[in-house]
Amino acid sequence: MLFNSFSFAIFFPIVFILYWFFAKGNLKIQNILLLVASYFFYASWDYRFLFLLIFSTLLDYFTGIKMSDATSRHNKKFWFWTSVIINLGFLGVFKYYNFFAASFAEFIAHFGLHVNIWTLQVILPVGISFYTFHGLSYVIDIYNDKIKAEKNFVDYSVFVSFFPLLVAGPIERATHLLPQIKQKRLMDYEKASNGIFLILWGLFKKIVIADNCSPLVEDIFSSKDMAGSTLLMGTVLFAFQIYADFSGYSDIAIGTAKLLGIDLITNFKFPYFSRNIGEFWRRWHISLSTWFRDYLYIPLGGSKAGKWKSIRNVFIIFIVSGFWHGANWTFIIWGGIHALLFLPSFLIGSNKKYQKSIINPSGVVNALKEFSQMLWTFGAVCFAWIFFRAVSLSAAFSFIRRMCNKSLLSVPKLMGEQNTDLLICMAAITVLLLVEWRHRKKEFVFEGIWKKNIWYRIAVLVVIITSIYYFTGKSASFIYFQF
Amino acid sequence: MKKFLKDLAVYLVVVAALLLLFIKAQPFLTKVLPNDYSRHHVIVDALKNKTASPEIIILGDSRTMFGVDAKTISNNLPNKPLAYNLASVGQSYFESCYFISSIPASTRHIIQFIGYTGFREPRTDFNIDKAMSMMMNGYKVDTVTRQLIGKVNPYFDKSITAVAFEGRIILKSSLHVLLRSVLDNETFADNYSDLYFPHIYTTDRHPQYPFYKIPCDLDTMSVNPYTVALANRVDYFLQQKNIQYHIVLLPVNPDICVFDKSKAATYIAQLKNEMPGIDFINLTGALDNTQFYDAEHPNKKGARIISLMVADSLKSR
Repeated sequence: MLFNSFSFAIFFPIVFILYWFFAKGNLKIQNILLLVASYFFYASWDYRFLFLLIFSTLLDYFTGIKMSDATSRHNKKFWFWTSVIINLGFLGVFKYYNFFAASFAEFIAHFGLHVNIWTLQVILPVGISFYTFHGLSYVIDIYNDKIKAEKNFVDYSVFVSFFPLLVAGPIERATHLLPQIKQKRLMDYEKASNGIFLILWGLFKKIVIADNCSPLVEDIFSSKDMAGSTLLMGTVLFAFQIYADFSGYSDIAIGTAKLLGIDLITNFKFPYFSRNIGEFWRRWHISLSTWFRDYLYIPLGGSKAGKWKSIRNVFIIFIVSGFWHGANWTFIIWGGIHALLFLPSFLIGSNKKYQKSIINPSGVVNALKEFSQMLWTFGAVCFAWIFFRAVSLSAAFSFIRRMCNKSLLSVPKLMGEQNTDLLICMAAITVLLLVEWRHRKKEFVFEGIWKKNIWYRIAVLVVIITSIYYFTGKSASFIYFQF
Repeated sequence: MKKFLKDLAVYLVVVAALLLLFIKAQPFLTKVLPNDYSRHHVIVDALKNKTASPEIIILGDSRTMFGVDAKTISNNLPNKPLAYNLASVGQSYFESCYFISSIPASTRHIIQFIGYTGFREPRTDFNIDKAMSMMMNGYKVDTVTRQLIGKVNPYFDKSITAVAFEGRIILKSSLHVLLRSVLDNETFADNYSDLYFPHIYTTDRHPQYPFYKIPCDLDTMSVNPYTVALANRVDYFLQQKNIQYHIVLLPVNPDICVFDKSKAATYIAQLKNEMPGIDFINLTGALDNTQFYDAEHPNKKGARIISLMVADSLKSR
């Protein structure tokens, strides 16, 4: 059940009505309802994997309690590692087994040895990377005595499987989401109003931008004879496709949760307005980058472990982050490129610059330096996207080779109807950039729209609905579902 | 809660009103905005028009649109009968058959143009965009068509509201048509709606001629029995109405496809044998490469030759 499908348009209003009018503020009923709705939502993808989700939930629920009740450190450690190993074991089997088996076979083939590897013919359970990380953050926090184990199974299950974030995040923390699940929730006018417009904005990004960019990007990345300038344009289009796709999903998820009275953590904060790679990663897929920061980078010693160990930690966190996206060398190289891009500012200590400030706060692009930094960062991010998008390393290198020749200076050219699609994409991307630029001081686009008068809100609604209605792109699944 | 529900009600009313407006406006937009399927508007209107009495109806795809001048055919026949070129972009043989039941009573000849592989291709019902466009332009499948076609495109059984909702993508096609002349370095004549010769090319040759090749091996495909049966059913239906059914095999550009003449003769003999009531006119080798605008479409010189040959052929029958 996609967020941009008719089935969700029927599903969510039913949940909304039951949640607010049938449960009538009864927290227990609300949570049971959320759990049933979440399992129904997940089962609509593939009911067989629902059992995996329930097993993962039971595992972390019981190991969490066992850790809390443990009388010795040794005992606590045992339950902790039981949970971590089983969680990562599932992830490894479903997501990475085939990659490791094939890479091993390829590696030993270099020595003239050939083995018949046994590969798993299974599909990746949707959302497994996301709910596994939910569960892991929970058990790690209990192990580190940051939180107490949740004794209420329904509440804990809602934390793991809350449907807006179940299949593609944001990756929530128990410290942030569980208290909200346990708290009495009342309809909040401001929150709900923001939620509606976040959903609309997310749908615009997904349907009008990502879905219109998708076929063009597909054609450009699979072409063998396009000019360098067209390939460059394809790379920029992919940058906006993946941003609109994933941040669009996050906006809909966060907006949906707001309508149910729950605040999820922000996942994107206008990342293409970043002035260096460090800032980019503080604005892109925030829930994942902070997860790796808190549960991997800092435990490894972070930046306080000495110069060489710190550099090692930087590479580890970026490469693991790349590998999290998928079992392919392209993602590992993508992570490695980001590590290399991040390293110079890390070494001179400027990586923590722009922690709080936003680009050009006065509202006029008068700071040429900041603007050129932003363009440079965007260019570097686009270069790395080539590896993320390519089907293999050789395809990525071939793409770069074909892009970097004198045809790079020619006028990009597409054929026939693609030109119209390109024009629609460019217009929609311009709207995206203008709207985001205007709202860049806020936590998210349209934050506080409830303060505007009703005619302003209706005008926004009409523009978004009209764009979605007439410029629907070729319907495609959300990119991050495959991770 | 009340304040939010009040706002929500306003939003829902606005969205519902917008959707209603869009759906109601869709047939009008489909008719007035240029799009790749705007010929459907011309075809449906011409077939419904009771004041004109065409005697010759020409059907086919874009090769027929650009390659057949109905007035040249008419002027070269005794009594200059009124002839309409009702071909449209991508009008497959199957699509043409959807118009057969609506042919005006005055019609005496139906000339169906078809590519040389037309009877060898698998059944290619037209895409849903076209079905949508036909319905938006007032086309309805009648019982005769259902009997002729056998299994009609299920899209025609949808409600007009559902079709109008899905038909919104035709607006994108309009944008494409409007932008095409700016983006593709090609200029087109504004006679897409012409009833006689909707030839839109302003030059005799495409800038990137011929820009693609097509396979033309007659051995690779066998005659499709469904198409043959359909053609025989159409022919029988037309015979009852005293209308002669001609099928013209379109010229093939020698630059993109050269086929064995003896194989072509065998193929045509097979077609005549399997569809004995139909008058086949073989124009596969009628044009040389200078008479093509691009790989498949004749230019104006080619169109004149085709039209004169068809007229001669009709005269000789």
